[in-house]
Amino acid sequence: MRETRLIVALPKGRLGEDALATLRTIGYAQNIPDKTRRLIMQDADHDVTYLFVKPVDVITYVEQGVADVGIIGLDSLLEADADVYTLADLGFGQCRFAVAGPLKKTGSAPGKTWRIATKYPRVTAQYYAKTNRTVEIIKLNGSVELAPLVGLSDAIVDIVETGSTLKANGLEIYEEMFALSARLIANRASYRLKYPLFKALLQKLDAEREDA
Amino acid sequence: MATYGLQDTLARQRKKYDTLMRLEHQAVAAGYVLFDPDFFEPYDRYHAIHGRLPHRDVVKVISPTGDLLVLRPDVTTSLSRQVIPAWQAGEELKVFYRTSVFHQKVGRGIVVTRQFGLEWFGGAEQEADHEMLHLAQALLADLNGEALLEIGDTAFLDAWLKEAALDETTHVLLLEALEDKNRRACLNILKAAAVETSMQDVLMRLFDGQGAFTELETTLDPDLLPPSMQPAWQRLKALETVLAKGDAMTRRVYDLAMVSPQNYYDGLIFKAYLEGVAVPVLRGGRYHPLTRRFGREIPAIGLSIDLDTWLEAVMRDA
Repeated sequence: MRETRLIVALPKGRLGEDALATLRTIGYAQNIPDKTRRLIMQDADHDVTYLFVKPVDVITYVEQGVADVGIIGLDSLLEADADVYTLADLGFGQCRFAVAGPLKKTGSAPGKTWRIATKYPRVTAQYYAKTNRTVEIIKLNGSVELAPLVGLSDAIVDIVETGSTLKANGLEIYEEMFALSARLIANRASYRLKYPLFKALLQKLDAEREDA
Repeated sequence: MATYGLQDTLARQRKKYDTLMRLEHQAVAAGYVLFDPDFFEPYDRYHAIHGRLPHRDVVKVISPTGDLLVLRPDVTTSLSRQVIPAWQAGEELKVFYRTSVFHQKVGRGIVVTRQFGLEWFGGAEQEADHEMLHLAQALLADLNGEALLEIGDTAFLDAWLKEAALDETTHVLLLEALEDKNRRACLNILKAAAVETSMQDVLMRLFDGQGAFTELETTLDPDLLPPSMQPAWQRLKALETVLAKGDAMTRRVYDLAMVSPQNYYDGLIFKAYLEGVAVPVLRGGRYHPLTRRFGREIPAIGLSIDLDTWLEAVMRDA
């Protein structure tokens, strides 16, 4: 029997709320509230099931085929190096990767390798490798702004939206890396097996962006 | 929670064994001979052949003489390196293998993947294409559930790229967007590179050319494809005619903008999916350019199966 149901993994939090807002503009997820404690919800009108998971887990659910589609920030996607299709840039959740550190300090002492604290070691390593610069990367799981303030690192690589968190902690941007936004990703097998469902979703999203 | 006794375990092992034997018997019945590929390849040669693959994934080994080698990341390259130098004009060689390939994955160490595959060197092109996909359909019939065979031909994109003559950066970006099935990114790249509108239209028609053959015949208007793409279209049409007479359990869809991460495929290319399985259960294609890199160009086509995924699919209802 051919599967007619689409399973969508959405990140909890603000990115998930923006994702739901976008889906609502094309008629999907009308009955799904922005905030819910439920981890799984059904949009019966479109035969779509929504899974609400931690942002970093969206990729795992999609790559493993438990979810057919996911919405995730490009930062998480690049760090995961996942084997999924990146079907579309959804335009929301805009921010950027940047190198930042304490005010008035833009480099390490001569001959000393720069230490970079980050939640994104893979992205950081690739960025510096591309420009033939050697750095020592320190992996952290959160509050990376603290690292240069207490001497754990010389700088940080992190996503920056308004820059207010950096400013509040006495940090400034040394180097803009590249822009980020939300991406629609898909499991490769699901895309092929449920292509008509994907096609309908993508055409609606595309039409909406044309109108916007 | 269900518990399994020894007899259940033995029954499952027996089913796995029977499945593997059926794969081998089908290969032998079709005239393929068991071949044992080498474990190691010189790193430099592998690097030269596999330009677009991430080389951090390859397991590197230093030989006792100080040479840098790779631990077999794929069987087709190993087989070609062994077969092509000994090749005699007019020969045909049909081989099958059941062996392992090795990759290095971040956080997982060295990952061993067991594979079964078929390769046909020197066969007449159309006959070999048809037989390989016939065999793919026959093998897929052994799985529980409806399989879907996705078929493409690199000649469509090759013809387009040749005519477009993009700069290298745009070429790479476009292939990445096509591989990602990202339609809007493709369009943005074409617009940024100021590609002629008529050429943009052709590429987007190829991109949208995904579906059953009968759908493509009506929606694609194949007569309007450029003359350079007509031979590829006729090849697919002949293939579909032959396959439609075969196994009715396997759905077939065609994808005219299909991109393979293996940059040695040239011509027919295919993958198979199964409902409820997250990765392709079978993949393959024609790879003349690979043979050229080993000294001479001969017709070659093959398919491979990830045995762990395959056995999982067979066992899921066991």
